[in-house]
This record gives sequence, structure tokens and C-alpha cells, in this order.
Amino acid sequence: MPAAKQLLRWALLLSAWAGVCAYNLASESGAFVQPLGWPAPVYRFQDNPGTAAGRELGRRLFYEPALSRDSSISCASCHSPAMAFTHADHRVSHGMAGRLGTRNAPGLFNLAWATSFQWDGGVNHLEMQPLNPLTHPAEMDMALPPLLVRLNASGAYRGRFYRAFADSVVTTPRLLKALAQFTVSLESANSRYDKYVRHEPGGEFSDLELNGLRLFRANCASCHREPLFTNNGFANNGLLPDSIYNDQGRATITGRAADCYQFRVPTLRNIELTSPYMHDGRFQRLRDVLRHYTTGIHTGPTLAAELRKPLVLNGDEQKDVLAFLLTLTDRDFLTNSAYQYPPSE
Amino acid sequence: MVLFLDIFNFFLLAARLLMSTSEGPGRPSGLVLRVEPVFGAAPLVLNSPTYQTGKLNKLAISRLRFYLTTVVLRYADGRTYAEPASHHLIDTDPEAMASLTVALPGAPAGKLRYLTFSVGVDSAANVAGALGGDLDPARGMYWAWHSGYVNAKLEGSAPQLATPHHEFAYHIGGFRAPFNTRRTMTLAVPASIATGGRLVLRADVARWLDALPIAQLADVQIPNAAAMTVADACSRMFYLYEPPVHAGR
Repeated sequence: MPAAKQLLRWALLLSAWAGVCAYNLASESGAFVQPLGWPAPVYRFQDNPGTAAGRELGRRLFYEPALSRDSSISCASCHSPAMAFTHADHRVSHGMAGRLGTRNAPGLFNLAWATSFQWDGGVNHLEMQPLNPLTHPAEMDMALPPLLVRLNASGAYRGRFYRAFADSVVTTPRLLKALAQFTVSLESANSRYDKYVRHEPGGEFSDLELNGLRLFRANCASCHREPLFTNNGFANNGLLPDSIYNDQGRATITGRAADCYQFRVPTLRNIELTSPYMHDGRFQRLRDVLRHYTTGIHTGPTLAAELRKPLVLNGDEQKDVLAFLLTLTDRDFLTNSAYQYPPSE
Repeated sequence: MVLFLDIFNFFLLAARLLMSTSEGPGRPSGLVLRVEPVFGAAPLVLNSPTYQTGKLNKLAISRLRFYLTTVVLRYADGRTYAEPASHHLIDTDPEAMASLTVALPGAPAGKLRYLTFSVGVDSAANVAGALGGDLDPARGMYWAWHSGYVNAKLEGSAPQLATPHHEFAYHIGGFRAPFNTRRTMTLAVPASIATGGRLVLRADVARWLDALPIAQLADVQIPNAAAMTVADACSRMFYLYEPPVHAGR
């Protein structure tokens, strides 16, 4: 028994060492990198260590229309890389056969730091998130068992699963882990704002932008917290409840009246490209959003405490905040070739 | 890297071998736990409108599925055996790819005193991300919109129910307080079956339904207070079956 314990101790030590080695070896291109000064990721990479083959498979799946029941739409149909993985000009997206959903498709990036998913936070793990668009009748309307049959019938996919998982059988956990390897690799941390914070060339701010940053930090950053520009929380930001869906947001998950009309605090990174705004896409332009926060707040019982005191920004100040928000656009992220439609093999 | 992992696996294997041989008395002889779905005294037949509960008659059961998890055996001499990775999807549909038999090859021989098990998936598995086997979300026991496993499903119909298609449906899930619908039960093992290496765990749907006002509570499919009531009722359906003793033996 003591011998066994000794062995176990050595095994643990060795595995810790192997983990460190794996981390160091993982600095290949496309692998996850924790940007300087950022918090540790929430995603447990040890449960799904990314590989180049796994990310490549995840990318194929992300852009694969065969994931929808009638093979008409892919994940990218509503999450376009050029728009920071949102759906341009769509308040809510249309899924299979033109069926409309009820919420605005969010951008997909920096998901390693997300503690929950969906506008209502109903999903607790990045790997489980795709089950919603896959199976929802207004989105891809595809059940898992026939999808597994479809992918297993494809020699090309069996080969890709073999390269990613050393086994050609397509299973639910492999499908979901491959998708997560790709989506967790979508990192945006190289905007002009990031260069400004890191004191790098290209990070020069104008006086307007500097004043915008100051105003942002004084008025917005308690919820849209740097560096992720979200606090991963939920809030009622004073939108008049929509008469069409009467979407109660977070309360549909928690069942608590206090959570009524609360929605995820979204990141503001790449906000220049992620129009329309809010969970139902009601605002087309950023200046509409600023007008909402300054003069449009609807006071209800669950309104966020931060918004109970009016936010006062005059016209010039609003322009400065807008100028600052545009520094959050990350061109390297938008054009990263590893994130685009996969080249033919 | 591959080499390191191989060394690691080798050490794990060596440690496991050493530990298993260093165990004392009661080496594994195995035990089989057989789940028997019944309605009253008779085997449960799906979609057969012949059952009765309370004021409902011509009741039909169309689906009974649940997760049987964390199986623990306690022996008369004080030892315990906990099945590793203990997650079993029990599905009474004869066409389902699910077994009603839980094999416990690692269980030691000896006189059993208690069987402990849970209905429902533990919180660790509920937050672990994508899992396979009986916990595969493709098995139809996972909620996408509100992450988490459905711990048990019971569906059926009765002509007296004033619901769409006269149906009732219980999908109980939820792994967080205050609506944690996982239930753990401990059953005493009768002396007559304590040493046979085989236990028959009966799941009597009649006991589950008798504990519920179905007409008033016909549809529970989200984690809420009603789901807690349904989960309590579900936990009442289990008992260990003792075969009748034949004279002359």
C-alpha cells in the first residue's frame, strides 16, 4: 500500500509536468494565448486541449451547411467572420426555411472568458452551446442522432475526425469538442485600444478618443468592464419591454421575478461591426444606443442600480464616447485567415 | 509529449494494479443489478391503456426513462463498494439502445445490507461540457436551453385528463438549489437476496403516480417547485424484489 501511494504521488507529479510541457508546446499558430494583463480563462482547456487538426475540424463544422436539417444554413450564416461573427442588418436571424428567431445573434470571440452563454445565460458550457442553434426549430432544426448518421456517412468527415481525435467515429462529444476548439480560438485582443493600453505603436489616441475613454470609464465600465468589456453579468438596461416577444430574459432561466428583463451584458469589443444592437436588435446605430442610455431609460422594478441615476452626456461628450468605441475594432481579428471560410482540401 | 503521456499511463496502470492486489478479503466476484419497470404487480407495458391510478382509468404510459446513478453497496461487515463512473440511462422502451441491467463486476462478494443509489445526474456531470455514453446529449435526456440533464421522464395519457391529447408529461431536471431534483435512496437488502450476487430493483410507476394529483399537475417540464414534488413522488417507486420462496427447497 505505501508503495502504491508513492507511485501515485510520482504519477501526479509527472502528469503535472506533462501538463506544463503541453502548455509550452501549445504555442503553435492558432493555439489559445492569454493576453498580457487579462484574467485567466474560464474554459477548462485541460478537458479539451486544442490541436491544429481539432480546430480545423471545428472550423469545417462551423461553416458546414449539412449541420442544418435541409443543408441550407451553417453556423456562419448568422455568425459572419467579417462582422465579428454577428449577422449584419438582422435584428433577429432567420433559420431554416426563413423561420425567424426572437433574439439578435451575438458576436463570437473571447469565449474562453465567458461564464455562461445565450442572452439569458441558460447555457453553462461552451461545448453545450451549439446544441441550441443545432436543434432549435427556428434555427438549424437538426436532431443529434441523424446529424451523427450524416457525418459518419461522410468519408471526408471521418478522416477529419480521425486526424483530430485518432478515431474516425463521429460522436456527440467529439462533434461538440471540435466546435469548441474552433470557437474558443476566436480571440480578439489587438484593437487600437489594446495597443494603447500596451503602449505599442499604432496605439495612439486622439484627444477626442482620450476624452471618450475617460467618459467611458466614468459612466459605462462598471458593467462593460475592461479588458473584456463585460462583467459576465446580467442587467435590465432600461429597454422598454418589447411588445412582440415579451422576452423576460434571465428570469426564464432562474424563475426569479427580480431577474425579469435582465439580459447578458455584452462585450463592446468590435461594436463598430455588430449592429444592430441589444438582445432584440432594436437599435441600428451606435448613436441610438447612446441616446437610449442618456434620455431613453425606461424605469421598471428591475432596472439596473447603475442606471437609476440619469447618465448625463452632452452632444460633444457622446461623440467622444463614440470615437472611443471605434477604437475597439480589431482588424487583425476580422481578417485572421484561420477564422475564415476553410480553403478546399 | 506522447512519450510523457505514455509514462504517465504506465504509472497509473502500475498504481492501479498494486492497489487492487493489495486489497484484503472480499475480492471482486461481481453483482448484477436488474431494473424491472412494473405497474403494480405486473411488468410495465408501454402504450397499453389498461392502468388505473386514483380516479384515472384506461391510463397509458408512453415513456419512462431515468438516470440511475452513484450506485453504492453496503455490506453486513461494514465494507462499502461504490461503482466508479456510475451513470446509467434506464429506458423502458424495448426499442431503446439502453440496458435494464447494471453490471457491477468490481463488487466484492459478501452479505449485502443496503443498496444506495440516486435518480438523476450529479452536478459535476451537469457542468462538465460534452460527455458521451449514457450521458450523451443525443440520448434525449439533456436540456439545451437551460443546460442540464433531465433526471427522469414519465409520459402518458388518460381519457379523463382535460389536457391537449389527454396527455400528462413529467420531465424533471435541475441540479441547483432550490430546485435540485436529484433524489438519493437507500433500500435495505432483504436477507433472502443478500448473498445471491443479483438484485432486482423494481420501479413501480403506480407508486410514482399514486403520489401525485395528475389532473391538477399534468405537465411539469422545467425546474420549479412542482418539479420538486414530482421528484419526491418518483423516488417512492423503487423497492427491491424478493422472489417467492418455493416449498421443498
